[in-house]
Order: sequence, then structure tokens, then C-alpha cells
Amino acid sequence: MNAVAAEKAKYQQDHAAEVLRRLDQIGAINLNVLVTKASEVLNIVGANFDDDDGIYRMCYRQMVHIGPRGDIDVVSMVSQLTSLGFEVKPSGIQTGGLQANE
Amino acid sequence: MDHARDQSVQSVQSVEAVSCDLLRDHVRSALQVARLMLDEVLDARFREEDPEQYLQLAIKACGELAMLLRVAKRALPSDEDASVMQGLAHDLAPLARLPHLYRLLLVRPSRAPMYAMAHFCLTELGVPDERFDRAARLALASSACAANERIPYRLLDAAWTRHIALDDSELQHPAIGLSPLGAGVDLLEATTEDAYALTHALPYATDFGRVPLPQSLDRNRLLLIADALAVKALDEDDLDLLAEVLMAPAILRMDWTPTLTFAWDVLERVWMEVGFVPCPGIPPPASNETRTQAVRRVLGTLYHTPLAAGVCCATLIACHAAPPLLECEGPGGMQLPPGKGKLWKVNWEKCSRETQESLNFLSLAFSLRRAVDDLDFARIREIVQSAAQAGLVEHPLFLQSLELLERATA
Repeated sequence: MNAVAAEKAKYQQDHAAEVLRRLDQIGAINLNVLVTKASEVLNIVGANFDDDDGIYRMCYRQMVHIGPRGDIDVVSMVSQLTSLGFEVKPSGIQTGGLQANE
Repeated sequence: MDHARDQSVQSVQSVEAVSCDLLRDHVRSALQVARLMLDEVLDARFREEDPEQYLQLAIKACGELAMLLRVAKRALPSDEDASVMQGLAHDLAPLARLPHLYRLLLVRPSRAPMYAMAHFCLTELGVPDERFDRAARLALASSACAANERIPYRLLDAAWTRHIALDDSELQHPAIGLSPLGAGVDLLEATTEDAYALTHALPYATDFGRVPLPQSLDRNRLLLIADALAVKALDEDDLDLLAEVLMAPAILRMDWTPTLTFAWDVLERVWMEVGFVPCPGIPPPASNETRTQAVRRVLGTLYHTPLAAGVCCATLIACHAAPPLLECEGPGGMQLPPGKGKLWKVNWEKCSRETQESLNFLSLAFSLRRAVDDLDFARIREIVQSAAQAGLVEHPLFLQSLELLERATA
């Protein structure tokens, strides 16, 4: 066996030993835990996230489909909010702002 | 020193700044919108109606709310504010550690920065979860942790989340040079996405201005690019983009330019007059929409812009970079520049003559946008000439215009 092959074999042996050590550590905790965890995780249903494309857009336009862009219509925005029962008080942030209607 | 920048600084240096108390009130106003989102859109009782849509919005908004809270904490040191933020963080926690996210941390470790961002922010705010934290940290250390091909500013986004969990060294990322921070922005017909790439890269690479940008970057050039993007936002009445652009002077640790000062004045006036910062638009209603669906559509769209404005104000306070007050005594009488949008025009009419004259870049940039729309090369040439006469020719916008003319005539 030449030196390179010997080194490779040694690496594989060490690596296998490391994997076995990590597996042993997990087993030492309790194999039943793994079974329970698997069933817990398998029961999580209800959302199918598309990694980067759906769930984590940090800015407004990339995540909301608002249709064709027209003029900004603040009056219509305020009217939609008030018709849903929210209160919009102009000026004076401390007393105003956007809030639920008490 | 860049001549264009030199001119900009001269006209705003001696002016009084917007008070930090007012900026703090703005941050509180954003927290008020966060509370409304939690109570009226993200509460578990609304989950049954279209659960998948609920979860998608919940996870996205939860990340943004957590980010706002983390930055707001730097700006609002009082016990009363701390108690409000703690309440929000507690109510946000179940969404930040949804079972779906936990599952994804186990089976999709390369996406861990996205799924664990809100969790790490809340942990920093004193609302921990040990089990979720263990899974998240192991995912960040996984052999596949970097196996997610991303564009440069989104690499910085992931690095920013990693730095909250690990340390500041994560922020020194090789993608900085490839992002708009190093490469600039193609300004002539920049899209909103191009603009967001810069406005996101800036806070991510610096943790919202806490850490300086690497010395090798040209901060002066980046500020001038921010100027051009502010004009785009004003031209399109896009206060969402504008709020993000307005963090630039604070993060770059540079003085406010006349254009950015004016843009701040527009944002703040609308905020005060309307009561919140309006977004560019709301999706049309579906037929037979229920109230839950309507609230989700309206509030679930509209919340983002006040949040972005709140993050902006918190950043300005934390970086000691309050905007200068604009000189608004009496109408200056100068003709409106050829910008579209309507929000900025109200402010323009109220500006003094001196202020209107200081907004030479804004006027030229609006004119340039119209000329580029029409591909009117003769007009573009005239505008570049005027920019040269005004000492603005080194501005990236006009440099790129000059290059356009060179390409057109090659």
C-alpha cells in the first residue's frame, strides 16, 4: 500500500469513527426520542413554502401583487380601513395614527 | 472631495435637525401598526380561513415585526416603551417558532437564516426558546448551511441573521463587493428591485448602521446613488422604497443631502397628515370576500410601509442622524420640476426659494427621467450639460447618462 492510499484509509477510518461517535451520542440520549420527534415533525402539515420565492420577501412590492400601478390613492386606503372598523386619525402621532376602533 | 457632494453638504449643514422626540413618536406609531397586525391579522383565531395564505403572511410579517422590534429597542430606551415592545415580542413568539419553521430547520438547514431570523431577534429581546434555538444553531453549523444559491444582497441578508446568532465577523462577507454596495446601481431605468437591492444591502452589511462599512467602499458614491433612488421613489409616489432609502445618510455616516432632506420632509408630512405612511397600493378585493379576508388583504398589505418607516426612524435615532429641518417659510415660487407623483408637489410648493434652489439635483434628475422615458438624446445631452455647469457631473446618474450618450453615438 503506498503512502497516499494509506493516508486515505486512515482518513476513512477516522471519519467512520467520528460518525459512529456522533450516532452513539444521539443513541445515548434515547432512541425513543428520535421516534417521537419523527412523529411530531411528520404531523406538521398545512403550509407548502417555496423557500426563497414566497415567504421571505422583506419589502413591499416583491411580495404583494397589487395589480397595475396607478396613482397612489390615499383616500381610498383610508376609506377601506374605516369601513373595516379601524380608526385613522390624521396628525399628532401621540393621539392619532392607525388603530383598532374601541 | 467630490464636488457634487461638497455642494450638497454646504446647503444643509447649518440647519436645525428634526427632534428625536418626534422621531421616537414615529417609531411608536410603527409599533402601534405592529400591534394592530398581531391582533387583527395574525391572531390564531384567523388561521382557519385559508390557512396556507395565513401562514405565508404570518411568517413574512413576523420576520419584519421582529426586525422592527430589534431596531426600535435601540431607539426607545424608556421602561414604558420597553414594556410595549416586550408585550409585542411575547405575542410574536409563537409565530416565530411555528412548528412549520421548526420542521424546515431540521430538513432544510441551508434556509435556516430565513426561518430563524425572527427567533434570533426575539431571543435578543429576552424572549428565548431553547429547543428552537438548538435546532437553529445546528442548522447554521450544518455542512449544507451555505448550499443556497443567492444573489449578493440576499447573501448579506443571511449573513446579517447569522451575525445575530454568532458574532459581528459574519458581517464581513465577500458578497459586499458584488452587491450594489460595491457594484453600484444601474440608475437610468432602475427598477424597484434594483433599488431595494441597495436599500437592503446597506442595513444588512452594517447591522442598521451599528457597524461601519468596509473602508474600501466609496460611501460618497453610495450617498449620491441614494439621492437618485429617492428621486425615483418621489417620482413614483413610493413611500415604501423612500423610507428604506432614507436610512442611507445614517448608515453611511454622512450628512443629509438637500434631496434626501426634502424627501424626508415629504414622508413626514404625509405620515402626519394621513395618520400612517400609505403604501403604493392595495390589491383589489376577491368576490364574496369575508371580513377576515378583507382585513388580511388591506391591513396585511398596508402594514409594511409604516413598519419600514418605523425601522428608518429607529435607525436615524440610533445613529444620531436626525434629518435637518427644511426651510419652508413662504412659497419659493419656482416652477415645479417635471416629476410625476403628487405627494412631493405639496412640499415643493411650501418650500422657500432658497430651498427650491438647493434642489437642483432633484430638478435635473426629474428632467432626466422624462428624457430617458422618451429616449430624447438631445434633451439628455442638455441635462448633462446643465449638471456639468452645476458641478454635478460626477454624480453617478449623470456619469451614466454621459455613457449612454457615448453608446448611442458609437
